Amino acid sequence: MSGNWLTTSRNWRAFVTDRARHYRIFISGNCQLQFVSDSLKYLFRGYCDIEILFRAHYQNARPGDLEAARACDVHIVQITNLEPDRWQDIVPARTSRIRVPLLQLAGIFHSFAPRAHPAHARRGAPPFYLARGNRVLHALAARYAEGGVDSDELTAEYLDYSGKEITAAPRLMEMTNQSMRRVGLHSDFDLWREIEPRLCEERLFWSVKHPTLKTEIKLLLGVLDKLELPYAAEDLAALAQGREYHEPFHGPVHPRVAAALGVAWARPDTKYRYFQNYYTVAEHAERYIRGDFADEFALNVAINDARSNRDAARTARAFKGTLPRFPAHGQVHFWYGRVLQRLEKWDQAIRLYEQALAGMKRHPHDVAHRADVTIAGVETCLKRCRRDGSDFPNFDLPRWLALDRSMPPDRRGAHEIEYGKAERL
Amino acid sequence: MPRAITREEALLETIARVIADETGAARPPRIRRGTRAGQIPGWDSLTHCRILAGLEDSLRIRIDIDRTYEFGDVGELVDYLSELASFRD
Repeated sequence: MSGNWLTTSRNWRAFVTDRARHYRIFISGNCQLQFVSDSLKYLFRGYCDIEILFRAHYQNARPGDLEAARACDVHIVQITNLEPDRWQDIVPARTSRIRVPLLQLAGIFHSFAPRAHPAHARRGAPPFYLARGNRVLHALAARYAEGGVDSDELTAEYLDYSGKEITAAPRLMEMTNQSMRRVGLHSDFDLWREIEPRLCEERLFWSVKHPTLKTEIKLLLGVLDKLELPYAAEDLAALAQGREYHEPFHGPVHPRVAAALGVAWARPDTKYRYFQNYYTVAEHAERYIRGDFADEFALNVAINDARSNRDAARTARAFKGTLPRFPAHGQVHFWYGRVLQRLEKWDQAIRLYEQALAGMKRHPHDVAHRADVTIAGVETCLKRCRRDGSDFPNFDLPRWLALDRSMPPDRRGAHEIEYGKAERL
Repeated sequence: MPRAITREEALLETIARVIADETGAARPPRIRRGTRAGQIPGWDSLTHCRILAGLEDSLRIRIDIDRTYEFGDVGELVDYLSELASFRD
């Protein structure tokens, strides 16, 4: 196993004896390998001689990608069942490959598969789930929209449903296990053998294609073992204790699917995160039937706009409309505060940052996600807002951020004094 | 007089209907023997199992689970389903 600085592995020897050029790692696959890519960049951040390039298998090649794929020293490629990764044909056959198994839990999540994506505007209100999703729930939502039936009644009907999606669930699970075992056989390490016996006892996936961080770390360990490059064990430990990586949306499991498969962790009171809120399967179903996810969707569009520094006035209006409906875990308050800071409404921004801090300390997210701002991040913004609101009333946050991004990583934040001086001048 | 549809045509129709069901397509896709999964929008490795489970349900057959991913195209699937259906009849 790696993690040992004294390792004399093949890749490490090749790396240290050929320092005239960089060691190039090309990674292709889905979001699971994006996690692997980001993690490797973190673990090897001290080596300026290691280049890591990730390309999602569903994306078109960008300029330079083909050359990068042809010139790589190692190709970390995801093994799937149906369509082989097209990068396999581009990377020369002589190149060293690490075949990583795709992980998916279609059996539990995909018999009733509600999925949502914040970038899809129409999914703010029914039908916002993918078309191949939950047709039973969708039909109930349509009946509610026609009027005359109470949402409680329709939710109860959903929870009592025992049609073909339920009866087929064990067979779908059997097929899933078989397909994952097959992927394992064609990969350089087989994680499914370890996962399969624990699927029903432990929550190893958030949704059909999104493993939990714990599962992803196991995938990363498999890659590191084959990659044979040295890394610091404490960096790996930091990754393992970090925040969840995949989107903060958890697929709810229908209670009858859970019962049919014996999924112990999917209880009626199990909470599933939907971006900023948590719902039981019943609450989730009722919201879908009533179309109430439109507000969550609007909020997440606003957060996305705030993160991207889009139209501040419009984003502030969106926050103002949705804020009262969201719990006080502080995330929403923080992003609203950021937008008001950009609008130079210093006092209101400071108040929201303070509310964000208080909320994050009292009611942090049960499942912290990398998209969530940290307490330290809020404290920094609050400090700057207090200072800039009093010292630099004309402080231009977007300009400051642009300047900050243009600086080398070790100087970021350090230029604010010069910037402040320039503002005063 | 209209020509009676063959067993193969009937199977192609059933497969197309199940694909539409499982991919959420508004109407069954046009498929031929040479059609491959990647040519049908929504027929990915996630939907594949659902499509096969849907075919099992529609045709009242049991697909050999070891062969789930061994059909190179729709034609190979049709041949296999045809064999199973003959055995059932």
